Amino acid sequence: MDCPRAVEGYSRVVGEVSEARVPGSTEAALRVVQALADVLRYCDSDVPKLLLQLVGKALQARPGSQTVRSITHLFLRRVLEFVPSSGTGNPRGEAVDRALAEVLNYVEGVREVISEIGSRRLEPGDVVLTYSYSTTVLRVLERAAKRGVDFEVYVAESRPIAEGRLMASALGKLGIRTTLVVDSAIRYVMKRVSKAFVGAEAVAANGAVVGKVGTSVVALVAKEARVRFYVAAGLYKFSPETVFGDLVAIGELENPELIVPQDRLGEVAPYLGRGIRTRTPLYDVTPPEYVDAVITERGLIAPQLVFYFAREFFGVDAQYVGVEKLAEEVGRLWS
Amino acid sequence: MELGGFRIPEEVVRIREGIRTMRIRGAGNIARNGALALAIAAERFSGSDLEAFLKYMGLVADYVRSSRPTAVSLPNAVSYVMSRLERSRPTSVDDARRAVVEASKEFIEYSENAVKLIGELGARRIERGDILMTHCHSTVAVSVIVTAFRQGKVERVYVKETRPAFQGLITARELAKEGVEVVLIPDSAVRYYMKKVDKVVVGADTIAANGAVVNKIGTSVVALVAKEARVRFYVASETYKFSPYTILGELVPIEVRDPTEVVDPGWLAENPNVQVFNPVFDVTPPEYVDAVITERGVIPPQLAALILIEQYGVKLLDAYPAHRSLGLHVDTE
Repeated sequence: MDCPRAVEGYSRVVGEVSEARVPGSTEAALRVVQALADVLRYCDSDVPKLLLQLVGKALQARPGSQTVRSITHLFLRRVLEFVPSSGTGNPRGEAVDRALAEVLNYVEGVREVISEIGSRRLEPGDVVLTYSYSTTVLRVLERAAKRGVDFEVYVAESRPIAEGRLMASALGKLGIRTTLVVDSAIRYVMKRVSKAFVGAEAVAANGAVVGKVGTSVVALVAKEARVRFYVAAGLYKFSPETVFGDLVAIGELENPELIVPQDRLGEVAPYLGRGIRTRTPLYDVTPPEYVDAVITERGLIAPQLVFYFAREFFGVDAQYVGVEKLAEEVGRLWS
Repeated sequence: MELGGFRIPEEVVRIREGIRTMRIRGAGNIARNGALALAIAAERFSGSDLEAFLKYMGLVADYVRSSRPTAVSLPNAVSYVMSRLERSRPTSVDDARRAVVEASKEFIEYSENAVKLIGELGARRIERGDILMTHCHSTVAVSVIVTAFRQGKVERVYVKETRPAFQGLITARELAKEGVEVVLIPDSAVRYYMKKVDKVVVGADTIAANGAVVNKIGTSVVALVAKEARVRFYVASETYKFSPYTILGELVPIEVRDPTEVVDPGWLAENPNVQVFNPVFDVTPPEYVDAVITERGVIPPQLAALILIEQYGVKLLDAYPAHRSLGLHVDTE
């Protein structure tokens, strides 16, 4: 590995993340910081310039998702903390290793607690509906199954990427009774469902939850059927900018080949750009009144309370340092 | 093919298989093909034994009717033709054949005319600058949208892809061909884009006596999302999609199709612990439907029973004499 390869590897990861090819927002964020760690390990005097540029790219890769931002933030904070002012050998490399290990450790700890708390919500005979792919939700269900709770799961595909199929696969491999349905069948099956569990990309100041596009449809349909709707999300998904009035910007994809399956594209191809446009957001926003609770590492709380608990993660709100600023500071250590 | 000692013409078999495999699709189209199959069967009958002809036509009618369970347009089209055969009181095979062929032609004409009429009535509900949304592919819904577009009213149409079979692509193409600006979106994005939409227009496979609309899976999701956003939700439907059976308490059977329409067989083999559930239709409650646009007028969905009683009243009760005591009898014929 050398610097150009590390940068190339990073760009590849960011590309995959921007096309939503990495399932699960925390997975995506962890892949980003792992690739970023390589850049810090193998690049030298270019780091100050590179870092700003590369971090900026990652933030644009999944607009609307807080996870990449928060995890990068945490990683850079730790690097800043661990790089000693002077030393022998490769002190910066060691600091990067330590920072990365801490981030992974932190995420694992959060998931462990959430899976424990979330799994207590499952009762024998429950029929769970989940949407898209979420490692955190997977862990909740895995823990409940290990505890011997007998339940079954419906998974909706979550087009256009259809991460729900991965989720169904993973649940099946855990030996959990799993049924895959298309997104349109959500209301048809909701009558059979007793609880819905989904993951999140971000939680805004008012408790609105940014999730994979279609999550808000599940929430609305659950509400109509009086089915409890739970969001499993670490507090690092809270979006601190929203406290200062910022809106969560949700990016939209327009590439037909990402929205229409390859083998069906020919049916509309003659009209693409001439009458037919394809379009989709990657995320949508679920209003807090549709969310029964957010399952966090600090407990099962109302969505409106996430703001309060998340302050611990980000430090005192007024002193919140943007991730771009951190990248600049870390870069200075390499100059 | 042989059925009860009669040879069923190959073209009839082909139509029936076409409906079953969804090569022939769309409730109106299925109905017209059903009527056509009866005419073909009548024309191909050889012999002069009237009783044999009537028995043969009865078998063909059951055979055609049984190709798909949910859309009531098919049994209604079959009944339309068969009841006219019965009412003609034929005295020869030629008489009977003529009655079937004429009734079939009449039904197809009626149906094609209904599509045009519904387009015109529905377009009156659309206002200049409207942004519309539609689900699946429906000839009548397209007729409404295109008629309104030609009147210069339609700004843009959001067309949902409609998994698993992607009939949204057909709608997108048909609208684009007319010059309508189409935005093709995944089903999951329905709530995200509903905020930008003024009106939803969809078709129907079957409408029950209480006004509940049975249509392509996901229709009830669009209806709920439209309700939440206070967007008007219109169903375009010919009256032969109203189900006379439901007024007697029968439920509309919902067809469940093969998992391989959702994922490929390879995926199923790799995931032996995962089932795939593929219901084809869902039920939209009448309270989510602002109006049903029929060839007999724009009506509230709750009026469905009245349409049914007007259309089938006496015959229904003849078929189920026990129900006379329920006081359902309305003498309109």
